[in-house]
Amino acid sequence: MSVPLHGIIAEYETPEELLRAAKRAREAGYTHMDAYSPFPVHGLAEAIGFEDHKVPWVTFFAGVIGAIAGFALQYYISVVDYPLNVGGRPFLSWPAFIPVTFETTVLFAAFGAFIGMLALNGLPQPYHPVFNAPRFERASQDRFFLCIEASDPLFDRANTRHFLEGTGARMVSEVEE
Amino acid sequence: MNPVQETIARFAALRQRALAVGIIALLASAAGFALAGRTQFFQSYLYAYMVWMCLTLGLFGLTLLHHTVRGSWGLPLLRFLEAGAATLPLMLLLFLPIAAGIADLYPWANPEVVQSDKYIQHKSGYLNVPFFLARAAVYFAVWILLARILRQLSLKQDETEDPALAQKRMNLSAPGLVLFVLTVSFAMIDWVMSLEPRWYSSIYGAWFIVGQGLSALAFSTTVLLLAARHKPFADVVNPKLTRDLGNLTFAFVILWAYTSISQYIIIWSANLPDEIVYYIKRNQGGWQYLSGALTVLHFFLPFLILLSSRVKRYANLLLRVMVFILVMRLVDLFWIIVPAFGRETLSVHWLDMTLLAGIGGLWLAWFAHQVCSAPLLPRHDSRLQEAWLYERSASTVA
Repeated sequence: MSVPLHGIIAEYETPEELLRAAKRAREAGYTHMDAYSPFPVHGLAEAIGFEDHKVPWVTFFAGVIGAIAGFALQYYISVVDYPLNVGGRPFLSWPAFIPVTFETTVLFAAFGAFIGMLALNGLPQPYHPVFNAPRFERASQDRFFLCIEASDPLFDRANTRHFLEGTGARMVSEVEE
Repeated sequence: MNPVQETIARFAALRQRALAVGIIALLASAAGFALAGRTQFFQSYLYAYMVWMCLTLGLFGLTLLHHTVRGSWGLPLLRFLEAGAATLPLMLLLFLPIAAGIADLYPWANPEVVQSDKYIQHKSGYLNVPFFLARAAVYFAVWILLARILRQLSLKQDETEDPALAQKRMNLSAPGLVLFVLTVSFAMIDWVMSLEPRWYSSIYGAWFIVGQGLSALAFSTTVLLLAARHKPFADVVNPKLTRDLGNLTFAFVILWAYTSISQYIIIWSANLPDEIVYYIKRNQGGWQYLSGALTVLHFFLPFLILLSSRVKRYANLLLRVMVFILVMRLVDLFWIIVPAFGRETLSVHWLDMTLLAGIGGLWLAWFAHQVCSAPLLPRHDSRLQEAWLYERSASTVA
């Protein structure tokens, strides 16, 4: 009893069962939960109430910065640092700058999406308590898990366990911190 | 009347109204033939014709694309795509005035111009009236035949539910897509690029095909979203579908910008006299404002709006974007075609508008008639049933 809990986890055999359970947990008022499955399950993010749209914004602003950086780089080189007369064109020949600006936009946006996703997920993460759950390795094989976390305002060791057992779970177990 | 019959009745009403508008506008345009002169008439006619022809070809191209890749996004649109492709015989009929006006429209068909221009003389093996008409006949024959067969195979499957017919359409559409790109490229070179016979661009066909795809996607989505306020379309339009259609449109907007800017950068970099005149013409006399407006309103604005997932989730928001894109397609074709006639300052002739409405009225009437004369959704397409079943199971579970 002295070990603090991360949450209570339920194991299901099919993605449909997991979706149904997640929906019922939401209806019961639980808000802090996470689901684990071997493959992406359509509608699961909505079912557990995951509403985080930060990555698109990080990507967008990284792209904007990339566009500005790419254009500024070429401007600095061609206009300020080493102006060259190419066929009598003006130093600030923007049509020639477009391909590189486009490439840096894509590059920065891709890095923004990748690094932003990792950072927002708190990755890399060497330790996560959910791996203490029994048979959790099967979350990457053939089982589907729903974990209601102890930080949830409605969390109660006995009640939550009872609730999850009523959702058709194959097995319900406590996850130590 | 059940809701489906009401929807059919709405399309039938559209047919009557469009036909009335078309006939009135064409009568006004006929008066314009006498008032504004035949050259102005044919120029305005070609512009208006190309707007609707590009839409028709786009709808036909999307039909081919849909049958080839068989994405579920195309199923709710399919009958609109087919109805659009079925207007090709009408477009053949409406091509006759262009055939009659070749000498007024195309410098290479004017013996005086040819005599004084050595470049055009060298191109006369390709650019001459009989060959021009023969090519047009071949294009129309290929398009009409292919569109007809595909439509028949699709309607037949509604009756027989024979899944082998879907495979048959695929076998026709994949090579058909290759034929489509080739014939449309040549058609656009013949009908539009040859207005400036000394000028050339190798990305021209791709540029037009992308624009046509964008027009067609925006148009068919507009019709679908308007029709989705009632059954049966209300049953198939959901956030997943609108997101797919929004994303496809987004891709076409980017592709349009990509082909447009590629042509510009290549010509701008080479800066050769025969090529650069194209952009010099379009960067003076007020046309430069249109060039700038197209960059901002045809690319940046739709690009930024369609980035948002919210816009793609709500049918009403997406509908507005699609209508806006359709308007920009009119402007883009105006920018491509009209300066080629030597209209040196940016101006819109009233014949441009009446002919746009006239041809458009006839086209919409024919389109609505085709929509009425077939089941509104490909009912027996197994994939649409799959989509329905999937949506039903998802909505009961989630």
